[in-house]
Parts: sequence; structure tokens; C-alpha cells
Amino acid sequence: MSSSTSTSERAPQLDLRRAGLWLLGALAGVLALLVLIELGLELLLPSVRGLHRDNPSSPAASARFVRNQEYSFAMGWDLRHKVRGKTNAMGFLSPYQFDAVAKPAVALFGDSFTEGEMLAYGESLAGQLEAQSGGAIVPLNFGLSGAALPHYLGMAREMGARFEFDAAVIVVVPGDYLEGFEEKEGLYSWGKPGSELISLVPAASRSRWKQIARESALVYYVRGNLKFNPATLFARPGQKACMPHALAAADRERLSRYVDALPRALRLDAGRIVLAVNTNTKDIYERVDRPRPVRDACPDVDALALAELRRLAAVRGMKVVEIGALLEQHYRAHRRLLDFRPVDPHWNDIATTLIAGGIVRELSLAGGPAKGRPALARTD
Amino acid sequence: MLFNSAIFVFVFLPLVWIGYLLSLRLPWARAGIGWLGLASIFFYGYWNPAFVPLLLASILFNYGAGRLLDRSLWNGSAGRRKALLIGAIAANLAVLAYYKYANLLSSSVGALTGIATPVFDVLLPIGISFYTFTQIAYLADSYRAGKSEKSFSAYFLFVTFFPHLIAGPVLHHSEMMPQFLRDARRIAPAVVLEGLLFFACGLAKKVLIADSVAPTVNRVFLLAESNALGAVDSWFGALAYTTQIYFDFSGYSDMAVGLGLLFGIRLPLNFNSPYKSVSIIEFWRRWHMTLSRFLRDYLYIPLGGNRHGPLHRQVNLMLTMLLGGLWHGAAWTFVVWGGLHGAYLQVNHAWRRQVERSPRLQAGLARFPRAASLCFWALTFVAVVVAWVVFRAESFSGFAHMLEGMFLGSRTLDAGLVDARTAFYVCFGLLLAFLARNSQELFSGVSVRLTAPGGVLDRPFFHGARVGSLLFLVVSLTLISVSWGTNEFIYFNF
Repeated sequence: MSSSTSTSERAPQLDLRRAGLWLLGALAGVLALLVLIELGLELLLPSVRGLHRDNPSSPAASARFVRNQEYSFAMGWDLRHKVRGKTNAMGFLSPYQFDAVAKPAVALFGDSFTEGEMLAYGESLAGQLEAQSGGAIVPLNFGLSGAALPHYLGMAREMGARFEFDAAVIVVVPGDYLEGFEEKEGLYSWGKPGSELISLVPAASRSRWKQIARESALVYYVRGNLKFNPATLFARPGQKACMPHALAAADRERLSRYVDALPRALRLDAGRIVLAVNTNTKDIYERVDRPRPVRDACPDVDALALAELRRLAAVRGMKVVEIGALLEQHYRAHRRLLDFRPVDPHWNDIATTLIAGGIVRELSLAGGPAKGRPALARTD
Repeated sequence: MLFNSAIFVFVFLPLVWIGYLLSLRLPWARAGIGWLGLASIFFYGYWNPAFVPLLLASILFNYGAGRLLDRSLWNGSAGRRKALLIGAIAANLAVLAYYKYANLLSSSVGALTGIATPVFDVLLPIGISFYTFTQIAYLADSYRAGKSEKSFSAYFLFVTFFPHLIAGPVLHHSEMMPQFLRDARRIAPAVVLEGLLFFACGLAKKVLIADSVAPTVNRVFLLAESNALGAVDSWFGALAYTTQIYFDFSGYSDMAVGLGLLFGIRLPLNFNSPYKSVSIIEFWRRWHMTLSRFLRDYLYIPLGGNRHGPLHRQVNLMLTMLLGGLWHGAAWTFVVWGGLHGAYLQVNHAWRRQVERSPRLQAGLARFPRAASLCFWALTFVAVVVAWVVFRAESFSGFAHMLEGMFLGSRTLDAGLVDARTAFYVCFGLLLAFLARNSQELFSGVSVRLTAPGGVLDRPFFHGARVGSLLFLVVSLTLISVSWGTNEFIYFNF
């Protein structure tokens, strides 16, 4: 009797022990793989850690850039198109130290397309502008991944106060107007109605552990290479139905103030500012590769706002470069991809060459270095 | 819902699996079947709920037809019974024809006669070819055996069981019903681990190889629609598609088998290293095996098979392959693909007859068996690659441009289609397909090995570590899959 009791009492204990061991094993398995992948990314493969930003308390957005930071970039799950580089003493992606640039120079504002982290300097828009102008253009690239219209203006103010520009190029991409309303830490966003046109969103202060986790190769890989986004993880594919949109008076006023503010911020005549407006390369491929009967266009608020911005810029005397037209013409003739799709939608060197050519033509600076301009010293 | 989507891997599958385990503990014997049936309908409806009624109607109709066939065995005449079978099959084919082939028929009539024919605004219900064929086979079996399925819930699950519903394997009623109806109260841990291994392997095939070469394949075949390509570009595109379709479909099939095992159900295997074949006859015994079985049992043999002499056999074979081609999609390119394979099979049979008749040939082949095998393998592989070109081409002009590029090296376009990374995946994938052991060779005996005395199941820590690392692998592969955007399985379109 006693023996049977002890057996029946022991049996569940034994199961619990097995279950505990099993769980421990499962955790160990996961942990072992995590460590293995982290080590693999850190050591065996070229570092995938791209640019990161500090979180200082400075009220200036430009103060967040990490100076003289070595970085490498690779896209996709299999780390293709590897690029290595180093930020300059201001934290921007350029082989030049901007403070050492013989003034005047051309300012370049935009988002990740302009920043060009996925391209070597010679292939990037800045590098191509320099090459195609025969050195006449000295591009100070203030492009920043994730930035939108308000940030371009904010940076124009900060940099306009610091440098004397000869001209400026603002590269506008689809989404730039609406993204400006998203409050991204450390970037300028649209101000509240009736207040300042733009306002700087304070950088978040993170604990040391959070910062370490953020900078781990695995976290960077999942966020950067796999483009992990919890908000879109469960999104259902498919086209959204067309919703008719119209620009509100507030949008028009905001854009009008924007084009008025730009020349002031840069201390330039409107005629020395080039607005280069990008289009989605995917649309170009669709148009050329699969011509379909034209459907009624269904522009959203962002597309309407960018069209209005284009119109206002032209009225104020700014030069407008239609990037889409340049790229489509080339694609129609050669069918060479202009980006890294489907892994990454950013421009490749074919696209930057074409765009730089268009911008250089607008600035009327092609044909060799401007007379009397001192040569630049590269620091790489 | 795609097997490689986050919603499936992170939400649907865990919930349904846990729910199934709980349902097995309920006192009602059919609770598990009911739960899986409901989950399968949700799985199907998640894509487009509008097609759920069609699926349900199809199930009700065929279940009813099966029961009527049973009843008429005792009450009706043989002629009436046969008429009932033919009527039921015709109704199934009519629905399939409307949804899948109406526009092909209409546009073909228009092209031939020059008359303006209507364009039907129909959307192809996903999986319709698979569930229609599964049920036609069921009706034919019920007619032959004189015994249909009595349990509606089991029949319902037989048709809708989500691991096979969208893209097969094409199931045989007799191999599934005993599994659905057995009184299982638990699923053996070793079988679950085997299922996880199959699922992870299939996901890896799909995500790491098939999806990695897909962008190049898409570009090559898209550009070939309107341009002649160079020899390198064309062969590269053709080989890349050969890699993609194998890793995509065999990956899907592995995942389906793995999912079945997670629920204690063993689905039939669909692939057995087809690119190792040394003849086209062998290829069709190794590629999409459940469809080949269906075509053989329900089309080729009823047509007469090889029972009426060689000429009839050739006609039957060609007809079977043409219809098998058409089953894949509503385009004449699929028919040509089927026809091409039909022709290959005729040549293959003729060659076999020739070898059987000629002692000299036999002696020659026996003298250099390895060289002969290598030649036959290469010939078979090239024939399969060429056939894949028409299978993938969007039109005959695309097919012609690809062939022109492959065999004449014409070129009007230099779009930089060959890239080192994709070339690596193609070479790696093909080497795996040629030389490596396949999934079932790797995993089929796993559950036996695990349950052996001293196996991993006796050591819970190591068993846990295996499951944990496999789950981590599945999660990682799913995240990679999500990073590609939408990448449907090729056979979802059929």
C-alpha cells in the first residue's frame, strides 16, 4: 500500500521534472541560436551595424549625428551590396569635412535616398553631383534616413546659419508631406496649426541596456535588413480601394509658408534652389513593362501636396527637376533596374547618375570646375 | 492565408494546434475533427470569404452524390448509377470550367472566329483545382468500391484539411479517412518533432532559395515577353526558374506534410528528388507524385491505359498529359507544356522498346553504365528545363524569345539580368537537387529513431533544445519571408 502510494505521488513529480528539463532545453536551444547568430553577424560577416544616432539633449537636430563613426551597410537577409564608410566630423556621410570646404558649396537635403548609405560615395547622389560637374559642385550632403519635408527645412535653417551656400538641392520623395506629421525622435516635424511651421521632436532618452540592445547586430539586422515592423507584420496584402482626397486650406497654407521659408533659411535666392521630385520606381516599371489601359488617377493627400509644392516652388522661381521623367526615359530605353528592388527600393548608381545629370543641368554648372574655386581636400 | 506568412505561423497555427490538443481531451470523439474543419474553413476564408460558400456547396454536393451512389447500388440499376457518377463528375468539371477556363474558351473562340466574345468577370477561387480533383477521385472510388463515406464531419475535413486544401497534395480518400476517424487522444511527441522538421525544411526551401531567385526569374520572363535575350540571360532565367519551381513546390509540399504531422496526420509525399531522374518516365514518378497518381488512376487508366495496343496507349498518354497541362492553368502554354511532356514520354517509351529489342544497344549501355546514366540524366534535365520555359512564359511570344535566346543566342536587350548572388542560389539549389538527400530521406525515420530506447525522447533537455531551436528557426525564416513582401507559392495559382 505504502509503496503504491509513493509511486503515485512520485509520478507527477517525475513528469514535472521532465517538463522542467524540457523547457530548460527549449530555452537553451533558442539562446544558443541567438548567441550563434549574434556572433556570426558580429564576427564572421562584415559588421552590419549601420548608422545610429545619439540621444543628446541639444535642441539642434544636427547635434545627434555621431561623428567619425565607422559603419557598414548590407541589405536583405543575405547581406548583399555591402558598403563600408565613415561619417565625417559632423556626423554626415561624406568623405569631406564640411567645415574645411572652401566656401561656397551646394547643400543637399533629403532622406535616405539622398543620404546614400547603401552606396559608395562615388555612386551616391552627392558623389555623382561632384563627378558630373567636374568638381564644380561641392555637395554638402545633409541627407538623413527617415527625414521628411519639415526636417529638410529644419536642417536648412541649422546649416544655413553655419555655412554659406552657393546653391541648394532638396530631394523630395513620395510620402514626404504626410511623413512630416509623424513625430520621429530627433527630427523636425510639422508644427501644430497656428504655431511654428516646424518643430523639433526631442530625442528619446534610453537606458544603457536599451541602447546596447538597440545596437546589437541581431537587432539591427532584424530592424534594418529584415525591415521588421510590428505594425505591418500581420498586414494583409492587396490594393486599397481608391478614396478621393482633396488638399485642405491648412495644407496649402503650410506648403506656401514652406516654400517661402526655404530661401530665407538657406540665405539664397529662390533661383539657386533646385527641388528634385522623385517618383516611385515601381510605378515606372509597371508603366513600361506592363502597359495597361489608363485608369483614373487616384492621388492621395501626399501626392496632391507634393504636386502643390512643385507648383509653388516653380511660381517662387525655384528650379524643379522631375526625377521620374529622367528615370523612366532611361528605363524605357535600357530596361536596367534603377534600384535594388525587391530587396531595397533605394536608388542604385544608374539612377543617381541620371538624377545628378539632371540637377547639374538645372544648376548650369556642368563643364568643369568653376573658375577661382579652391580645390577641396578629401579626408578619406 | 500563406504558410509562410506571419499571421499563419505566429497566430493561426499555434492557436489551432493548441485547440486541437485540447479538443482531443474532450469526451466527444469527433471534437478534434470538428475543430480542424472549422479552422480549415477560416484558413480558406481568410483569403476571400466570398468563395467559402462555393467550397461548402461543393462539399455538400459531392458528399450527397457519394451517398446517393451508395444507395443506388442497392436500389437502382447499374446504368442509373453510372449516369449519376457521370452527372456528378460533369457538375464538378462544369464549375471548374466556369471559374477557371471560361475566359480561355471565350478568347480562343474569339481569336479563331474573329467574333467579339465576352470577357467574364470571374476571379479564380484559390485551390479549386485541388479540391475538385480530390472530390472527383472520391466519387470514382465510391462508385468502384460501392462504399462512400458516412461521416459528414470526416468527409468535410478530408476535403478542407488546411495543410492540403490550397495546393495539394492531391489526397486519396482511402489513405486519409482511417487517420481522421481513429480514436486518437494524443499526438506522439516524436511525430510532432518530425512535423516540425518537415515544416522548417520546407520553409527554408521556399524562403532561402525559391524566393531568392524569384526576382530574377520574374525579370527575365517579363523582359522576354517583348525582347529577344542573349544566350546567357535566357539559360540563366530558365535554370533559375527550374530551381525556383522545385524549391517552391517541394518546399510547400514539405510544409504541408509537416503540418499534417503536427496534427498526427500523415499526408502522402509529393516529391522524390525529381531532378535526379535519368528518364522522363522516372521524372513523372518523382515530380508531383500525387497528381501523377491521380492522372494515372482517374484519367489514363479509364481512357484505356495500355490495354488496347501501343497506338492507343500513345494516344491515351498524350491526352492525359495535355489535360494534365491544362489542369495547371487556363492558358494554351500549359497545354503545350503538357504536350511537350507527352511527346517526351512517347520518345522515352520508344527508346525503351528499342533497347529491349536490340542486344547490341543493351551491351553498349551495359559497358558504360555510368556514362550512359550521366547522358540520360543530362538529356532528361535539359528536356525538363526547356519544358519549364513554356510553363513559365506568359505567352508564346515570351516562350519563342526565350528559346531564341537559349538556342540561337539572339539579343536585342542587355538589361544586366545575371547577378552573382542569384547565380550562387541557382548553383547551390541545383546541386542540392542533384546530389543531396531529400526531405523524406532525411526525416522520415526520425520518429522511429527518437522513440528508440536511449533516443532523444528519453532525454527531455535535448528534446526541448531541439524543439526550441527548430521553433526559433521557423520564426527566423518567417521573418525573412515577411521581409520579401508577398511571395505566394507558385502552385497557389493552379
